[in-house]
Amino acid sequence: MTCPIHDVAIIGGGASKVFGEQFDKSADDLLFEACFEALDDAGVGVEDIQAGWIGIAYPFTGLSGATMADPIKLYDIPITHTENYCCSGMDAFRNACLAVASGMYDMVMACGVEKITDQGGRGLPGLGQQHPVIFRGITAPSAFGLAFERHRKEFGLTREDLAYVAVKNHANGAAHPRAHFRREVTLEQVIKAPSISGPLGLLDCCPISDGAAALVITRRDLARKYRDDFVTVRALGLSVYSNWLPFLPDFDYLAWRPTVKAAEQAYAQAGIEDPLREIDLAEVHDCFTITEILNIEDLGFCKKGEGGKFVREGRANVDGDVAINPSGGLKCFGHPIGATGCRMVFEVMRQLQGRAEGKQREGAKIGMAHNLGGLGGTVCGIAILSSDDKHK
Amino acid sequence: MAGIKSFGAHVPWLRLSREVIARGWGIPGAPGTVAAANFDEDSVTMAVEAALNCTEGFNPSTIGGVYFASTTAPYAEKSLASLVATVLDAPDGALTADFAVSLRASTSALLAALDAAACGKADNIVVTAGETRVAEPVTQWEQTLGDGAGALMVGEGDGVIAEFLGSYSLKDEIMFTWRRAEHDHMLREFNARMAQSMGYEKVMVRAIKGAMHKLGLAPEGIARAVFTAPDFRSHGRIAAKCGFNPAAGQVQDALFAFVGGTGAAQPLMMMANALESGLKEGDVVLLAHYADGADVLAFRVTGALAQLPPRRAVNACLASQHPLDSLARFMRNRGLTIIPPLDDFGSPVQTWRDNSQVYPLHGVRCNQCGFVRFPIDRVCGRCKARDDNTEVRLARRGRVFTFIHDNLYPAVELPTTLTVVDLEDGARIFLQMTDRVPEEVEVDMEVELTFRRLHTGDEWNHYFWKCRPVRRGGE
Repeated sequence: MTCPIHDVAIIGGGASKVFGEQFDKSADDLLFEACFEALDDAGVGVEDIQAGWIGIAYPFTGLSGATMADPIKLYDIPITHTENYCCSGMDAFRNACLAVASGMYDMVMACGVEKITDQGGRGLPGLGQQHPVIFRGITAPSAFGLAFERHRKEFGLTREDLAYVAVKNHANGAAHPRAHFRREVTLEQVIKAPSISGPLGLLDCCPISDGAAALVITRRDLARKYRDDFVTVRALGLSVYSNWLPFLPDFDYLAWRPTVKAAEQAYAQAGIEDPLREIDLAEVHDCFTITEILNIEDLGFCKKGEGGKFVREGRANVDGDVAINPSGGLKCFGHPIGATGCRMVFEVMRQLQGRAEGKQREGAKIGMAHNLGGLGGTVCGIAILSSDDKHK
Repeated sequence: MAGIKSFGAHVPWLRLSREVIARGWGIPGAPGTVAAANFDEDSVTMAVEAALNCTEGFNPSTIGGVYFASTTAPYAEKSLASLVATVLDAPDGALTADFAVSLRASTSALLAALDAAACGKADNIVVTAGETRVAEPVTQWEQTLGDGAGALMVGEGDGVIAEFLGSYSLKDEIMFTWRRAEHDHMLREFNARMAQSMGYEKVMVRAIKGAMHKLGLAPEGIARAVFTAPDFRSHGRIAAKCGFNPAAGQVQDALFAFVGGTGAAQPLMMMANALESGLKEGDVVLLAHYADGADVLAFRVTGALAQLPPRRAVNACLASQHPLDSLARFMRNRGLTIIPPLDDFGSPVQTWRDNSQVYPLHGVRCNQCGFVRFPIDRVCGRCKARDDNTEVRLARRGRVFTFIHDNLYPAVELPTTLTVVDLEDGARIFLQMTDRVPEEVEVDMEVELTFRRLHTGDEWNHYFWKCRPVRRGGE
């Protein structure tokens, strides 16, 4: 299948120097680091960028395209702020790619940022539409954790299954110089950590992180002017479901429907029939350990109900059947909401170029970045990238 | 013929043993428990519960009035009768009135309702009273006061289960117990002995005797004497002076052993308890309530009492309880600690716009495919029919589809049990769960809905529904 998106390439990527609690830095500082690293990586200047997209989830981080323009003085061009829950950054990347694919621009930049630690309070600040009483009490971990009892009942998912995800992702992230946490955790530590929401303990939850990431995107036929090891875009899926999941009798809590639907779109665009065999690595949304387990199933890496076993058996390790979250994922690397999508694409790009900063998936050619946002799976964005010569 | 047509009550699930209070302060404790409102209950949520129990099986469109009585209403300025009427789904034209300040607010409301029914002004008037009085710690009152609510429906016609025979009232100006407006959160008193003997005993006996004389009744002609008291001991001193025989079952239990003194709610709760406890056609019941004076009302039970389906009232609630084993939690629930109440997002505009969803919990049913859903929206999520819905009252029972015990939401008490519930009409709803033991919550558990205070964002009380395990017992 030919798809206009196949004519888009990434020639540079960057991110804030580290992810995590960066009390000494502003959103501008984080964007400054990410955007200039991406421009330098591509070997281009601010003046070469014709349009920009910036993903931000929280209004307090910044509003409008000017949030991207000011820190790098990218003035007088079209810049759009995208917001789509945790897929805000992924949607910035997607729109940037579509603009290049349309032929309107030759070179654009997508970025994402979130500066959460300037706010007080525990957990994430409120997300999404608010009603004084309807849907009150929901939190991010409970929204995803509500799937646990259903999965336990239907498929026998256990507390230990969840913990294995954290152990794997911390083992990966510990090796990454930019990760929020640079340490491994044991199964026992994960299980014994205090409960945040039901079976999800402190070590099953991604941290509150600050960070930014940026990507320089151009036409595939222009990419080689800048570097030989550019990567190409093979698919951009995006699927939006509902804000009202716990009110929908047809939602069974066994699968994240947006992941299933976005994967259908992406696999069709990329011509992927057997994801487990064809995809080398995937940065998969693991805001909570249970989120990753369902996503692994929904992305078709294993059968429904076998995600826990898949991780436990090491098949998702960096040297497993498919490397799931070689960066450490949201769980260990951190999750600055609006930045995460671009950060994942940045990680996949480096993996496919063979220059991963943490653990490298050897010989990686096809990689996926997957984002799931909302209170329990409202929106999913997927990008599939390639460094295979046949796609260049 | 005006009279009582139905009854209901609510006794909170939590019971604080007097032994726990005593241990907390290192003082002697009396036996028994006091009923203790949970952190999400107040006088109006309890009154709603009693009123819902009272009106079970009655079409809400027939409710002609809602009178709310309390000395512990959650607002000094704002009608709670209108709130209760809205939750009950009563018609907009129903009479609503709030009775306050005096502990006799409830009998004042009852007398007013009987007058309105007798003169044909309104039928099916729900009189409900809830009370959460706060006593000073380390006093006898602390072991005496309890929380609860009662409700009586008053009207005319065939459905009358207890015909109103007449009433007799006395005033009594005395400083017995009091709380000054804007100064006192807790009960004050000066000399209990004087108040008990010269106030309560003297005036209550005079009022009961006066009523019997006025209505031509003799003590032996009273099947059940339902008289309230400020405390357990005082109650015991009245019967003999009025010529009633407790040993023969002539005196209605005043509920001090397990519930405590419930102020304005007490006469309605005791009357509800009398009506569910062995009265038969022709029995004469005397209802007497003291507070700076006394109101005495006489009723004669009709054959309709036996036809009324069983109510959830005092007996059922007494059979369903859970020990509150911490004085600290009791004091927190009463607002006696420095722990601030939960201040979440609030919007009077949204709540007003969504009145029918928030209070009587309406959803919609699709006229095309029958899909029942909540919250109300315009396009059917199943068949995509546009704007072709009928607003419906959602079912009040269902089963837990999934749940989680959350420790992150900034609740008064952790964990917050969050549930996804499939209601009996097919609607699915997200609700917090209350009055539960976390370890006992499971998928497919049967739950019922209960009206609670969710939070106090923007300095006003946000009420909504929660679910709880079905309260069983006493059937």
